[in-house]
Amino acid sequence: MNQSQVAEFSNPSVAPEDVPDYRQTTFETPASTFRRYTQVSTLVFAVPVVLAACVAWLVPFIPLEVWKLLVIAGGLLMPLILISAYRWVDAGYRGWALRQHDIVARSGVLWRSITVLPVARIQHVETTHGPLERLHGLARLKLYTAGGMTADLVVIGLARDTADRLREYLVEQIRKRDSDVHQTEDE
Amino acid sequence: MSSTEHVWQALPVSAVGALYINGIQQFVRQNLLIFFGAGTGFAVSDSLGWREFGLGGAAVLLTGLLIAMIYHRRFRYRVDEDSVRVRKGLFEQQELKVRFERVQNVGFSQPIYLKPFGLVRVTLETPGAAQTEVSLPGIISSEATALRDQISGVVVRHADVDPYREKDSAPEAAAEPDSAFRAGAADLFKYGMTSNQIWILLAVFGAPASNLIESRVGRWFEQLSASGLLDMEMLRGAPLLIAVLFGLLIVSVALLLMVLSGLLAIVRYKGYRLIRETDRFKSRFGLLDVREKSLKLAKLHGIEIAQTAVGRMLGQWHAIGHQTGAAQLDVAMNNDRRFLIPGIDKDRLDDVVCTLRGWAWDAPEWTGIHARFRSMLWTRISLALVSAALLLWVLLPGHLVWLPLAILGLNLLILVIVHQHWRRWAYAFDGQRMRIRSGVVGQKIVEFELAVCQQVAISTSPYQRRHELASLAIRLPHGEQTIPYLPQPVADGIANVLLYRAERSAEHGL
Repeated sequence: MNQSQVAEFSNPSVAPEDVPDYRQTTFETPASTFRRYTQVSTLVFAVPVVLAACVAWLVPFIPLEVWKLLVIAGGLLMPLILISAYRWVDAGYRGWALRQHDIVARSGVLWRSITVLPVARIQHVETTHGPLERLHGLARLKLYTAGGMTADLVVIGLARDTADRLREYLVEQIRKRDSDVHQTEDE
Repeated sequence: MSSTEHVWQALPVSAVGALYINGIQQFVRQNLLIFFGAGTGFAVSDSLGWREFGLGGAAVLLTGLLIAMIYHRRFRYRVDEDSVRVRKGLFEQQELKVRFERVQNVGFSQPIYLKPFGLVRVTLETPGAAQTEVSLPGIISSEATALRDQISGVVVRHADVDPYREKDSAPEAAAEPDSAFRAGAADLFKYGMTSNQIWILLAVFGAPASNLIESRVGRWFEQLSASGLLDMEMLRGAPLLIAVLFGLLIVSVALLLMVLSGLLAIVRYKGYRLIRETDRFKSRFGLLDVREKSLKLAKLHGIEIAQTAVGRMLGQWHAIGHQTGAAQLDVAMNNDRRFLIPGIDKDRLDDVVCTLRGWAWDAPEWTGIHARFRSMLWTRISLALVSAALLLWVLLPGHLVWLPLAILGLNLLILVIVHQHWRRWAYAFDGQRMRIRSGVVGQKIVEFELAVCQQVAISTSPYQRRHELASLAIRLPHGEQTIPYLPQPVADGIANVLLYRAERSAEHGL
């Protein structure tokens, strides 16, 4: 390679006080109905199991004894009860925060995670809500960055109007950013 | 090009052949297992003869020709000032529009059957799903070159600068910049031997080849035994000899596959050249299918250099210029959409990386991950496997020892692999640029500017929190990189600087 073609590289140092700390964030908690939503959505999955156990108990030609049926039903229900309890506790550990330059989301009880997504990297924003979420006045915010085929960050447990306001705010930030970029290119 | 702009055009008539052959190739590739099954069925069936095989084959070929002709008739394309539009489809007409600014890579391909017609297949790749790729299956090469230059914003001063013309008739070709890197036949052969192409060959040819080898070897043994040269009874009583012979057979097959892969790499990448122009890289290669790929400098977000386990023995590397979304693209045998630079020996590696990066970087020393990563995996894996071995020894009738011993041996092997994996995992970070290395025997090094970071995630398990450790996941435009088991303050510090650089960066349109 021709060394004269190698560009000069500079690496100015960054003062530690100039670097914001992601840990200095005050998190917002999920909406008040989120905990109830987690229990109801877990129950929805338990319904087929309970129904199957009841039907099996009532139908005479199934050759299993009643106590065995109850053990099987209990064995299927136990994980669901544990999941329900976990989701109740998990709801208390979730949080989100919108800062000037990024959005931060926290989740997890045992395996904890904090995800930070710079606003400057967001390409697309959408809000979605399933039927149960609609019933509880909830929505989820999905954020996409360049190159991602699925959402890079999903914030769940938001009140519907909060999700809508966040979406509008971020869309406006994207619009401003893109018009600044085009202005710079034109100059 | 100006006379054909803003007008819907059809492909040249000679492109029907290209569509036909390409369609047959794709059909066979996507239904390889069915073809092998049908072939085996035909071979073993008594009721199917050559006439039936011929009739079936002719029906498939004629159907393919009819489909190619209908597709050609319905295909239209149009080049506007800032975009390309394509209308295509057999039954359902689909219209695609790709703006030039979204095009990440313009790929040219000239298979041997297009050369007599002077046609080139052009592919415009954009970030995102594979469906956003637009392909013009066969257009005149001068049109293709002009389109590429228009997309790149290059004004072509000289008419007919056409790299696909014969050398004698294109004196302008001499004005091209010198190659930044060339791969010779020996480099490509070594690359093929060391690449993961071997596994694709094994998947495609493994089953039929193993049947063939089994029947041939079996027949050979029978002949040797019948001639008295080989005593089968003696052989049956010597399991170690059988194991050695079997091992030799596996090694021979592996060597054969490596040689085959090396030869295929020469055919596929013959004459590989990497050229750096003002605003982009270009690579040209290929014997039967001459290809040109281009990569805009502005779209290059990361550089990956990789060395397989066999590559380490031969001192062979390859490099990839990463674009947005590229990690999710196809890496099938004939559909590699990455910007790949094959056959780099260790003496030229630094030069190639400098060329891709654009400047020399005195990278800091590697910093490894915490030893608790290794000790955690050692403890859990050993606990599981030793318990399994003990349980088997207790439960097996006669307290057989060979199976528990085999499990313990496997345990030792896994511990060695875990140790290598831990040793290999490291990072180099200078506050502006970063490198992450991973692997077991082979290695992969990904290098990127902190400013291209898309997202950062810091995660901790209960074990990590007890020991003040954390894992860092960095989302880049082309995929995610992880550094596990960092001291928590170090993970936090790196995350903060990554976010600072990304949020201050002027580059938003990634």
